[in-house]
Order: sequence, then C-alpha cells, then structure tokens
Amino acid sequence: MNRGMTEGADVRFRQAAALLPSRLRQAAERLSREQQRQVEELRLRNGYPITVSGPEGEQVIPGCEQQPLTERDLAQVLEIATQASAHTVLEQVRNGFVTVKGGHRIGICGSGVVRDGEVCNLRRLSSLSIRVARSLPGIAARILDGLTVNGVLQSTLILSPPGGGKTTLLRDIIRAVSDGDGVTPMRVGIADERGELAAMYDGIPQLNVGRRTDVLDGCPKGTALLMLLRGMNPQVLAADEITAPADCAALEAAANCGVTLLATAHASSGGDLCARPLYRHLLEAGIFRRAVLIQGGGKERTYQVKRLEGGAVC
Amino acid sequence: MLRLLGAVLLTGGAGMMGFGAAARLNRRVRTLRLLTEALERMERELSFRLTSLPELFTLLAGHIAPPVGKFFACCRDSMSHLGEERLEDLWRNALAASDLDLGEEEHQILETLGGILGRYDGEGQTQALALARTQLERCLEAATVERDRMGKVYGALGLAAGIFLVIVFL
Repeated sequence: MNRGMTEGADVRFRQAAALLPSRLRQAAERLSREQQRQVEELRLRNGYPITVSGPEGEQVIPGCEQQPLTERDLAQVLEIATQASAHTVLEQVRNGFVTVKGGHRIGICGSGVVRDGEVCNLRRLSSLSIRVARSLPGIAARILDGLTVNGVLQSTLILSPPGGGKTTLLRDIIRAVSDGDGVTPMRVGIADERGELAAMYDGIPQLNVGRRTDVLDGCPKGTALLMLLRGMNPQVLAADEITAPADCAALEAAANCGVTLLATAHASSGGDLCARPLYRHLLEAGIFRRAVLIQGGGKERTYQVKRLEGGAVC
Repeated sequence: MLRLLGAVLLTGGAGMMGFGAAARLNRRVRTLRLLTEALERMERELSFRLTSLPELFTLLAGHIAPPVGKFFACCRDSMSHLGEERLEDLWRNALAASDLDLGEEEHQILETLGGILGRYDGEGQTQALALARTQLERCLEAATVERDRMGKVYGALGLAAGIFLVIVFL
C-alpha cells in the first residue's frame, strides 16, 4: 500500500470505530496501526465480546474478552450511526443495513417487525456488522483502455458474484471518467439507491466519485435514473446492482437518449448473465457494449474485459 | 432626608419584588409560546423532510429566540456526546441546564418527548410532537390567564406592601 492509501485506511478505520460506544471505541483504537488497516469488519453480537474480521479471520478485540455485549450496546451503535435519527434511515433498515458517514455499512440482525406482509423495522437487535468502507483509487486504470473507443467510454456492465468488488470498481471508473483520468472527461449522474457508491452525508460524497459527478441517493434506481436524465443532463449514468425490470426500463430509456451507461450485476460469468431473462433483454437490445468480469478475491482479483455483441458475451 | 430615602428604597424594593413576580409570569408565557412554535416547526420538518435531529436542533437554535433557542443550541452541542450518553439523557441534561423557567408539568411534557425523539419513524414522532404541542398550548392558555389575572396584582401588591411598611416604620 502506498502512503496515501494507508492514510486513507487509517482514517476509514477511525471513522468506523467512532460508531462504537466510547468503551468499545477505546478498545478498538488500542489495536496496532497495522491491525487497524487490515480490519474489514467490526462485528457485535448480543451476549458475546466485540470482534474484528480481516484476512486472518475473526478475532476478539484484546481486552474485551470478558465484556459480553448487551442489546443496549448495539442500540447505542445505531443511535450514534444515525445521529439519534432512526426516522432518516428506516427505509434502509428494512433492507437490513444502514450506510453511514464515510460510506461504512452497518448490517443489522434482529427480530423483524412485519406489517402488511413487509418488514417495516427490526426490534430486539441481536447482531451488527460494521463493514469498513474501501476505496481503491486507480484500480480502474488497468481496464480503462478496454472500455473506451478513441478515448470515449462505452456502456459497460460489471459482473461478479456478491462481495466480488463490483461497487469498488464501478466507483473508480466513475471517478476516472468524471475527472478525465485516462479517458475523455464526462458529466456523470449516479443513481445511488443504497448510498454505497458515493456514500452521501450532508450533501457531500464521502467517497471519491470525481468532480463532474451528480449524485441522487435514497431513491429507487429506476426513478432516480429518469430524474437524473431529465434534470441533470448527464453524459454517463451509473447505477449499482440492476435487479428490477423498472431499472432496466430506465437504462433503456437513457440509452435511447445517447447516454453512456455504467452498471453492475450479480453474475459469475457471461453465460450466467445471458441465462437471466432480465439481463438477456438488455444484451439483445445492445445497450451495453462491454462487460467486465471480476474473478478471485484479495490480491488474486482479476478483471477481464469482454465485448458484448448481439446479445452475446464475446 | 434619611427617612425619606429609606421610605423610597423600601417602597421601591417591595415594588420591584412584585414587578419581578409579574415579569416571571410574562416570561413563562413567552417561553411557552416559543416552545409551541418550535414544536410546530419540528413537526413540519419531520413530516415533509424527515430532517435528522442534529439538523433540526441547528435549525431551531438559529431561528427560535432565547431561551428556547438556547435550549436547542445546548441540544445541538451535546450531540457530540452520543457515544457516552443516550439522546434521552442529553435532552434531559439540556433541559436542566437551560433557563426555561417552566413549571413541573411543562418539564414533564418535554422530558417525555425526549424519550420519543429519534427513536420512532417520522409519523410516530410527529404524533408525539403534536401531542406535546397540544399539552403545552393548554399550559400556555393557563399561563396567559394567570398572567392577565395576577400580573398587575403582583405589581400593585408589591408597591402596597412597600407603602405599608413605610407607614409602619414611620
């Protein structure tokens, strides 16, 4: 890791640790700098001591072995994370997680409160997982050539299984395009439904998505894409995890207006993608010109650029 | 000459005490009016914008006149202690630290509200705010009646008591 990246990792760990009640925060801050940089998640389970997970697995934070957590500790983490404003994140809680300042994601487990057949809240918290946000500026550089024609970005779909690094790669492509880092600079509009791409806080992106980027967060992707298209005159539109027919319809509408698209989808291969009706239609319509397949994890991660022609991955 | 000065001081002092009591009644009416105004604003913000509490406290600290504005400024400043204390406790501490000059009933209404803020969905909180506002409006009505009835009486009583003491001592 270069110096900038280690400093970034230090800051991100401190931000994530600041979500903990003071006694737990102090314990987490006693980890060595090297350990802090390696932390991927902070895990809190009711009745058990707090743990950190990283490349070497999950381990109890030293000094906390005899301090089992209570539901009050867990509730306090959420109170800090939401700045005591549960009403502002209730929509996210229904999806099982909350994105907070710095782009960190808190996964929540508890007993679901169901109303009219839908989960409307979680009570009796049982565990929380604070995933430390990762930003890897520069990772898009190695594939940008394959995604451009004469320096201009082509509509691209990023594919990987869950947890494969799609969002991190998409974010860095957005940054590169927005800042003109290796490609012709363009205005980018992000439909950030779950707040993971830009991690907006007080109207400011917490993760670097470039200076020509407009972010609409918290809205359903399909709606947000159309709002951006109407209101912000984007040259590139980006959305994470296309899963609903409404998202596809919005992407199609945008493509017909001459906007370049960037999106991600859960798929482990090109064939996997073609087998799913939702994406098959997008491929047949020729909306995306390139696909990036992410394989492996950690230092073994590889990026493979494929051309998309006539509904097939070449 | 000395007697005259003593008489003036005695009358003035007793009068001041009476007028002070009247001013307290006035202050209570003003505080309650500001509080109901603030709660109404909170209701509007929560129902239309789902505004977060730190933003709400900042907004009210800037827009509502003291002492109520000061109370919200105190709430805003104490948000940095969230990791150590719950919002409910921070709200209660701010209430105790602010010079709101309220009665036991009004204090109780605000303390109950502090236990609800930030814990429920927007609708639940606006309902709690509406209830607290209605209760405070009732207190305001009673305080206004008391001020109109007793305000002048306290002033006059103070002066009368001062004059009475002067007569007795002379």
